Amino acid sequence: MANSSWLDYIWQLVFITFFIMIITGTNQRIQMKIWIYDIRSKLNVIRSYAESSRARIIDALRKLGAQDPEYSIAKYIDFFAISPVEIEPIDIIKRLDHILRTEERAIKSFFEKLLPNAGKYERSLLESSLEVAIVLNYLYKVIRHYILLGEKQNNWVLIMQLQLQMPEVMKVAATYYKALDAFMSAKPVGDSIGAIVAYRLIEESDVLSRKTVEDTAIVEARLDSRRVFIVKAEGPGSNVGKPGKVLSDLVEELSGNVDLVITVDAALKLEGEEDGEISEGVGAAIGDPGPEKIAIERAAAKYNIPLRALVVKMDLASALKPLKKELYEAAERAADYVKRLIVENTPENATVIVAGIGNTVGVTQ
Amino acid sequence: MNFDQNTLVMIAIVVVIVATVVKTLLDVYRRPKEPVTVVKTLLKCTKCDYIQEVDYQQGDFIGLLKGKCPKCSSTLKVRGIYAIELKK
Ligand SMILES: [Zn+2]
Repeated sequence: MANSSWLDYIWQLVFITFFIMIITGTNQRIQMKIWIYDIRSKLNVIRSYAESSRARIIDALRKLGAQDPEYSIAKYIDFFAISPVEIEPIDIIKRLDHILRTEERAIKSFFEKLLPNAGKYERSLLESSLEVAIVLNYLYKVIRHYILLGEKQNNWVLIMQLQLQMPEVMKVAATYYKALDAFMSAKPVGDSIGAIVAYRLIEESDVLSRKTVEDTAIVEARLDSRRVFIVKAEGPGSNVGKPGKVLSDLVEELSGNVDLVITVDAALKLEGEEDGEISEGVGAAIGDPGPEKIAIERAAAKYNIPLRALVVKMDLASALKPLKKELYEAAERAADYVKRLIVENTPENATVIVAGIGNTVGVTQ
Repeated sequence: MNFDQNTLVMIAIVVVIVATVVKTLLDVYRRPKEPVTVVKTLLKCTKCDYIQEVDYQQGDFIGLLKGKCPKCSSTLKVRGIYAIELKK
């Protein structure tokens, strides 16, 4: 009996302690400590991604004979572009385009100075790799900012939000880290699917002429007794080209005598959709910040040219990682689909423009 | 050893709570295993329909002319480069 009442006291004490913890919020503080510990351990993983990506780029630069690559990369790892004023929309596309081009030129000339003896191909791979390293570095800094802010202000709502978002953040970080491997070694990624479709069409048609304008290849060919212009970024380096600008100039050059414009691109799928699903629609299938897309839309609208779109669905991870076999097979199917679209929607001897949108890493023309 | 009914109920409740907590923690912290992938290069003959899958080599790109066809000895061309998952 004495034993049992002793146990009762302990239970009483436990419940009273719990009660006091709940009304004073101590339980939340304990929870917050656990969350902070968890977020910090994940943050360390992101830091290791960021540091290792930087180290690999520096290593590659040194192998190509760059002088003092650590200093140069440290200078560019925080590189940023400020988006144009949006409350005044007049000429915003022009301003945005200008900023994007300035950014591109700055990074290009940075690598030209750093690697005067390397080829365009090697430089393009390192440019994209540096972009990946910049994203990882920024991600690390943002998460670190929020965890430090949450701790400083004792803001458990902020910490909780961060804790809930960490799995998604980790997935994005791991995806970018994997993408680095693809760009460093020039393997096609999921986003290259538009370029692969374009290349397959070039391969299967009789090529009449080839030219390259602004890092973008234009191939004129006969395909199923139609005159087809195939537009894609210039490969096999890492490059997205200027498909919008080039396509709109091409339409002008042909004085608008185009019967059909088809854009092919990779698109983000909804959860539950299959990787490699092909969907047909209308509009410009291109995921740039704006200038390229609007150039295609304006050119098509000006001359009343039907604008068809074909997308291959995938998630962000598949789009940035080396191309999966299912997606490669989808690219083969998409090329056949484009040929069918051309035959079904245009008469013989019609003029058609097909643009394969996306990064052409690992795909030539 | 004799336990009264209350103690047994308490023990049962504690066991259930601990089991639930452990199960939840395992679900949250068990990392899904990343599949191991290898990258392959698909070669196709430019003349006949010979096709061959080989290991990816640094420098391969789609459209690269590479090697001779063992059937008709014309040139092979890289048709595709893709990653396949390895089964454990
Ligand atoms: Zn052969």
